[in-house]
Amino acid sequence: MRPLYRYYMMIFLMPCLVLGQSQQMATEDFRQLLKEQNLRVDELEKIIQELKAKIEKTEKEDAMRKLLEEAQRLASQKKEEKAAMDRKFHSGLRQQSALNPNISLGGDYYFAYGTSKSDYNRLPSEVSWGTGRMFLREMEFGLQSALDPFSRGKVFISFSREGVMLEEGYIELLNLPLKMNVKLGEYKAQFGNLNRYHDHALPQFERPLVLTNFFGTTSLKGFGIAANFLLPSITASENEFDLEVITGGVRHSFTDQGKHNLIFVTHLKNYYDLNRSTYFEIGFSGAMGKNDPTETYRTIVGGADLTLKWAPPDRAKYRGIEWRTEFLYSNRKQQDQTISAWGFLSSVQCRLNARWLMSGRMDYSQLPWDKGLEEKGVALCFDYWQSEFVFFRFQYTYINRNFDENDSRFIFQTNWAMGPHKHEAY
Amino acid sequence: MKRMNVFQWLILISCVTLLIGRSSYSADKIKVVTTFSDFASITKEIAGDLVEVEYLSYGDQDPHFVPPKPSLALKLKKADLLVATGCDLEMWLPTLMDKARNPKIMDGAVGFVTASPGIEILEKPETISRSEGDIHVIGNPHIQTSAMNWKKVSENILIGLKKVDPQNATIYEANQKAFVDKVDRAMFGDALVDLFGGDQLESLLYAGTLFDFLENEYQGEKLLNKLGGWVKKALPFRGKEIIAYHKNWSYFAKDFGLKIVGFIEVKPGIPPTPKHVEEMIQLIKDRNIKIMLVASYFERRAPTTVAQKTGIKAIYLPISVGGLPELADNFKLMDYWIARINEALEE
Repeated sequence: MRPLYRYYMMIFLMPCLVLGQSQQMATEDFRQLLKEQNLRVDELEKIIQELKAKIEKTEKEDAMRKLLEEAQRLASQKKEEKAAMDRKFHSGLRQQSALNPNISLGGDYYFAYGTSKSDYNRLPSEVSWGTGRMFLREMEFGLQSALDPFSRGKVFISFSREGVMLEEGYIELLNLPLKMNVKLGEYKAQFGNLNRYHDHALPQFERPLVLTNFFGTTSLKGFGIAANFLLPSITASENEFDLEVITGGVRHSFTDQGKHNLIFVTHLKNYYDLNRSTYFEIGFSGAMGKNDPTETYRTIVGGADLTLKWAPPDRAKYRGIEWRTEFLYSNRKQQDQTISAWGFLSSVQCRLNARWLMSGRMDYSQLPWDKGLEEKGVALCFDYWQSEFVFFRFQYTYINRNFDENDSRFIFQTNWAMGPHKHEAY
Repeated sequence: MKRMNVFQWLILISCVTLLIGRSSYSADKIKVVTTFSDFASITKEIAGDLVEVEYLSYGDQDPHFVPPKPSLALKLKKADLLVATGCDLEMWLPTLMDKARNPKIMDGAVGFVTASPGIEILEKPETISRSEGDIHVIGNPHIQTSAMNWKKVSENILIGLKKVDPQNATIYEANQKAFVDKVDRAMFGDALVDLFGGDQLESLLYAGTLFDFLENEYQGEKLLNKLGGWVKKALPFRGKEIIAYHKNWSYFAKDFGLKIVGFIEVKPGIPPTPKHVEEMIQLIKDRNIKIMLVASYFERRAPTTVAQKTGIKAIYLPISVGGLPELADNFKLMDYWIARINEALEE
């Protein structure tokens, strides 16, 4: 029995052993499989995420590409603007003047009434007063152009009742060595401050008495050569020096009847910026030439000029004061005597607003050929500027003379300019 | 001892005045002179400390009328580079250039730069006639009031700087690129510039389609929500009708969608007449206009009268950099303009 029992036990236990062993093996396999599956799932998830990211990125890129395409389409497709009802239509057929560059024409008319009929020191062809009529003082025709890269030309011709006069006509050579500009031709000399001004740019209607008495109504001018030097910055804020030789007489001071009629002119200008609104200039001038037809006796005229200008930059269109003063001294040698005479002018111009200016001037002048004869004058003036190119002037002037009757004048002046040559003073 | 005569005195005094002057020469840097402070500000952005920059017109000055003072000519005399607008705004400049007699900066020379090439000039006159007032024959020259124009200005200044100072060309190029980016970001904000770039946005702005474009969605959000910078700040007045004193603001209005429907001046450069002021008052009332832009250098009587009779807000704005002490560069100036207009609208 005992061996059989053992046999039966073995038969019974054997499958259990086999079954248990195979079950253990199956569990391990399953675990392994599960692990592998998990890994695969992870990989798949990773791939899905990557694919998702790629899709998202592609979608973003597509969206951006679409936006950029849209942007380009919209940028190239300008919105049509409806025509404004207030649009003005112009043919342009009458506007060919734009093809004529740098041609100017100015008109200067006046009405004058004066108590004196005297025009003792003025040529018949020049300004006369007191006849109570309207006059054309001048029509000024101007041409300005660059001649080539190195020079430019300027011509101003004055037409008046009495005829045609070359006011100025010169070539200007620019940027020469020594910081020099040279002028050749007929021009107004750089003597003092107001001598170079054309009539239409003067702060009052007429040239100051001292300038008229010393140089005539057409300024110290002539045909010649002038060199202008910009000095090194050793002085003031800026300095200029002018050296000129002109031929041609100037009434009362220099002869125009001689063989050469040479006049030497020099001017030194010292400019100071006092602050952002104010500047100051002081200049010294000299002119020397012969005063008789034989060219034996010389005249020297010296001058000092001061200018103070105040114009606040943010209000320059509406506020400003400009004060100019000039002193002139003449030393005239004659056969039997030397005559010294002097005179001055002092002018103040105030800008009241964009359109109105008020100015006043005091004058004193001895006559250079007879210092015993003298004139004193005051002027009060209102300018109405319709635009930069048209102004109207109302002026009262009183002149006291010790050799002739006094004069009170009322003047109404109309001044206009077409083209680029305006009434600019600086 | 012989007494001196008047002429000897004159010579002596002349010598004395020669001695009481002063010199303003400085170090051997490249010297750049610009007509306006706005161009100077841009030049500083590009060139930094490599150059010395000066300008001729004050920030609060009327750019049409700068007296050609000798001291300004002296600045030009020393300049290696001159930057001007290039339209006929600076009619006072030729006089100064003649006085300066500096061949380096003459028209067409290496040292002469105009700021406007590449900019679409607005309001080119159909009729060149003074009956239209003090017109500019090339078109509206007030290009500085547009930030987009500053980019073109900087390109032109860069060319000039590279010509007169080729050694530092790479620095100038890098700085100019950075400046353009700075302008774009100030104009549209960082987000849109990062997405589309400044040039694309500028094209859309000038095509008049920027806001149509910004209606698009990106990443589930309207692009309009990403708008920043001055364009966003100016949204409160976009599309509004305004009055201006002068045609200073045309480029600004184009950038920010303002509609200028009338001017206080009768015509450019012609001061207002009582009749014209009355017409403007009626226009403002009829169209319920709320804002009037006036460059600070203009008179205030006519704008004040119009404001009192209509309730319109007259906003006086400096036109250039430095017009107020705190407006040290173009960016601050544009910030100021937009802030002042918004303030006026909120009042």
